[in-house]
Amino acid sequence: MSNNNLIKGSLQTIILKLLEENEKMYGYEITQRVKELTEGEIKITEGALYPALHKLEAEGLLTTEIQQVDNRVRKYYSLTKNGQKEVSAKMSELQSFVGNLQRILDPEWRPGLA
Amino acid sequence: MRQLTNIELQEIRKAIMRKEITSAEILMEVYDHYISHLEEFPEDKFNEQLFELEQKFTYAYCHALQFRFNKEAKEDIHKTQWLVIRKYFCTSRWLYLVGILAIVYYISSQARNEQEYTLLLLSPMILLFVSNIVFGIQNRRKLRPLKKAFKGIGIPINSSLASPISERLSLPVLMAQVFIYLPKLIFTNIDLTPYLSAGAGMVTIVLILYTLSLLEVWKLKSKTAMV
Repeated sequence: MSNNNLIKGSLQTIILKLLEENEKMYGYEITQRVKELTEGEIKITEGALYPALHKLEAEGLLTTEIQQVDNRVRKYYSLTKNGQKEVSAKMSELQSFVGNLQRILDPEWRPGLA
Repeated sequence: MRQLTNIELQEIRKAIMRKEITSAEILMEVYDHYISHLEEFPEDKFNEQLFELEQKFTYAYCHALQFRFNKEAKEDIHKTQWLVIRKYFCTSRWLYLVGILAIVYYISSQARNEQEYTLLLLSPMILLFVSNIVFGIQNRRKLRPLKKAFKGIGIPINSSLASPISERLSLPVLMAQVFIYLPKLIFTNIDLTPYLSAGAGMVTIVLILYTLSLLEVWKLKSKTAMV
């Protein structure tokens, strides 16, 4: 099964987390950073990325800035104050989900045990 | 990473033009994505990679993206203007608001006849009218490079935020007709002269707040969109 189906629900958290670590990023840069961090294991599809970015922008979690790069205009995304607050909430939500999933897959598993 | 040749850039633009994207914001984002991606590959892989991008950015995908973006842009302008108006009533800006109210109150109390009231009402309208013209000019200026790059696209390219802002800039002018003529049509037997001063003052205050907030929205959005 493709990893893409598994990350669909956590795409917003991934974007927010990446933007927390990098001041501002553009769409293609986000896809490349995820690919680089996961050594190509996870590929964010453009089909999911841009709707997610636009949704986060509409929700006021991201703000944008346009900049001239070579002979074209580039749209950079960065976190708003609300977005910065939302990162930790989304992260703990995801971590709790991963923990629960781990418990379902391996009932013997306890947090902190390798 | 390499620099794409002019022929390759032309190929990219042709491929994107076939998608008939009208939103400047979506068009520039897709264009930047294509170039950023293709710059990573050697010349001999260009066609293969362009084909791969074409499979991802299909006509249907781009139009769905554009539809949602246009819808969100409209809501965003509405939401942002409300936020700006609410800010006028915050403690940090109350002096600013009181200043405007005092000036309008003073002017409306000085006005004595219908002509002077009309002039009072016209002042924010003139500001809106001038803003609409400047907005159109700036919008055209910002879009010029994109329109030049996609010359021959055959469909008009516009910022997704331009139409909601422009509509809002022209709306009060239309509404003013209703404000001015409707009372005259409904209350034919009542003498409205005693209420003219208060009415004109109130409408002017609302219009000034509306105009200033909209200009602030435009200023904010000019950093994030092609307006």
